[in-house]
Amino acid sequence: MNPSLPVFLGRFGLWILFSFSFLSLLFSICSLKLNIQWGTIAKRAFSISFLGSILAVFGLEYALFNHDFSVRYVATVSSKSQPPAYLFSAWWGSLEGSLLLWAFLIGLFCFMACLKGKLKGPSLGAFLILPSATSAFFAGLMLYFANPLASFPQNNFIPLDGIGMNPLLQNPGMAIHPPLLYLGFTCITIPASYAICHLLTREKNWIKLSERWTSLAWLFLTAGIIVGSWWAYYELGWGGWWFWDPVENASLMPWLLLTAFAHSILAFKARKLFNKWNLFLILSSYGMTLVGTFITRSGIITSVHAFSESNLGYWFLGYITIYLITTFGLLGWNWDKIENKSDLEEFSSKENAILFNNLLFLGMFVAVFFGTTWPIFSEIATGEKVSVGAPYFEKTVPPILMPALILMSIAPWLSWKRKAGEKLSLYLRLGFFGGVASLLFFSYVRSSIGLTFFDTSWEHLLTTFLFGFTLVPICYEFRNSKGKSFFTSYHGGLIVHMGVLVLALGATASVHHKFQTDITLTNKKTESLPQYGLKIEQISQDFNNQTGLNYSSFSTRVVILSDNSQEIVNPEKRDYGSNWSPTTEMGLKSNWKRDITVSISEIIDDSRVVYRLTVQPFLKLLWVGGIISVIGFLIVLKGKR
Amino acid sequence: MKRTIYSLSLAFIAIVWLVFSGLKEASLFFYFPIEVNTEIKTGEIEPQARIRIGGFVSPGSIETSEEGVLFTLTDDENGLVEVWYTGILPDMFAEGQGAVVEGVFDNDIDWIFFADAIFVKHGEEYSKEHLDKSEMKEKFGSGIPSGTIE
Repeated sequence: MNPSLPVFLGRFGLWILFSFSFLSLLFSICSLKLNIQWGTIAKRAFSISFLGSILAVFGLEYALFNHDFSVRYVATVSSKSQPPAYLFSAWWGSLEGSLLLWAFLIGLFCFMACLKGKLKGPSLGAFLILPSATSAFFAGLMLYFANPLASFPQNNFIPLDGIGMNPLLQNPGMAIHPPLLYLGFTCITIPASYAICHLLTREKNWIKLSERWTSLAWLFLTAGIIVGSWWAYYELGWGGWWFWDPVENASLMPWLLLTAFAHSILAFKARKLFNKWNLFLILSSYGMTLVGTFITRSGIITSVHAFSESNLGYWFLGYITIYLITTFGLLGWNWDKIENKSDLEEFSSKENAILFNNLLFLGMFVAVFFGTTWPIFSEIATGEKVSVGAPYFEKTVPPILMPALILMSIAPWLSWKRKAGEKLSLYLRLGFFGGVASLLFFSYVRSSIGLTFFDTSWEHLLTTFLFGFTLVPICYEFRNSKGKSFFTSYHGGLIVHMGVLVLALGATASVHHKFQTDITLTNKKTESLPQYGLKIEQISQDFNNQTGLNYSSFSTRVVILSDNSQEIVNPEKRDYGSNWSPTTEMGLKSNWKRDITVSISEIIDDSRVVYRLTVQPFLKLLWVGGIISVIGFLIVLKGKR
Repeated sequence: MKRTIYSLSLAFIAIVWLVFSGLKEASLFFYFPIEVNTEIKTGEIEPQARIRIGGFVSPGSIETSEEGVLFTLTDDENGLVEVWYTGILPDMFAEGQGAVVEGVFDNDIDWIFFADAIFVKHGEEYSKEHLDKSEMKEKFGSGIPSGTIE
């Protein structure tokens, strides 16, 4: 059977994407040595390849919305009963479509960056090398290994209905989490391309040009990571929000390097410092987006042998190797020719603080990187498979993170090049009182919800102190700049810092004071936990097999009594049929002091149900902090510089 | 300048030490059921006290009782390990599902593995195809803790 016209056009679009991005790569390399006119030609070729990816996206979405199950990908990620929003998001539902999303976004961002048209001649050509190569690589992968628009290998096979999306993923959080991460990953391509441009043509403005793209990438990645965590908390239903899973670490690693870069370029803007170091950071950051995708997609973490079973892994590894050799080769080759300044006369200057910030973020990166990839190295070196779990990360990351938080609450008050002035000592004094006040305040709140006044975890103590230590000087700073605009990237940055601290406060509290227990309840039976001022009672049970829903469920009504109020929640177990595992929907009573969640863990018989009860103090601050950071970063992005 | 370099290198050394001592301490050896059968049970290798075993739950092997659950982990090469677990099972735990268990062997009780944590595959993939049993083998290793990890 012939494919429908849009699907046919989509496949054609993939070929255009592949061939023209490849041409664009050739032309852009030509522009370096030959006539500079080639840069403009490369730009045109790249624009055509972007049109090709638009065609492919259109073909795929057309097939998804029209339930064209002759396309294999459509049959695996969507079904007739899927709501339209999830039909759209099925685009990035699995590997094939994610590759297309990636290629499309690179095209889009690069097109936007070119449209501004500040680069000319050889600079334009040099800039286009990385995006062209990446687009060509992804298009090649799609055409030869993972074509989102391919039909079934069996001739004329068309299933009646598709398998559909995993019910766990039919959630707004999960619909936007992957594209946010991909937006972040692809945004990093732009500053990395400017870095390559600087290496090849000594483009002077590379940092100025990449600044906003860096902020945008940081914004997308941060939002993506937080939304992913939020999804894990609400949808997996067991009260966890971060598991140190390789998939999560894969998004964290580029984020850590990008954060270091975003700070380090401030020193360049102010004093033209650390040019080489900036190049190194952004090129590694882009490399980590590839490495992260590679380790999560190839299965190499489990076993080196598992990886060799899929061809995709080899191609990825090959591309990463070429990328690393070329870019770091270029960096090494030009090492003596790159302008660089690193005079640091004054120890307590802002540039020094940024240097330490970079060291700490690099340290966290090293910790996460080795923790995630240790199984690979160990198996290659000794043949023994090992597995590194959450305890490792919980032990190594906080000791590096905490100094970074301390530095974060002092560094904004330091001065460039000079010793810190009056401002610092005033702000330190103000901050100290604020810190003591917030320490007492949070300890009081903690004791009011059944935890000890004198906290035992130093990480949590420190973050509660730093909360006031940062908040008070920031408020003072805002008050002082009355009359002037708040809408500057400096003020935005201060708000981001505040958001990060709020987030860290919530994180340390929920990690160190998480209380979990299993409770068996029958109808009308009350269980109380006097220490936590908490009572729960089951009112009724209900088997639900309504038509119109694509699941049957067992739910109960449970009353949670705490903090002088009661709330009826409905924990639920849902069964989506034999294709999928059942899911757990938790019952949640939440205020800013603590989250109390009740999940059905086992149904013993008609009357008895085992619940898992989780109490986590200050958990809501995680999401509040995340939102504050994102708002701050919007100001950084849009505000005056 | 000197002061900066000294303190930076000192901090760097501290971080490297932290990472590698942590890795040495926290990494657990990971085996497939076939390796348990051919190497550990025969005494060829002496495992650490605490290990992880990854495979898929063999169909028809889950026996639930009031005290806990007993099941068999298997792999493509027909390795078999009996596992005893008393905590709460994760939602995605099912026959044929890939799972990683963490715990200890008790040699006195006929090579039953006493697991105190079970990890099943993270649901980051949307499609059923990726939950295929043969593919599970290469994909487990990362998972959602069943909740008793700490």
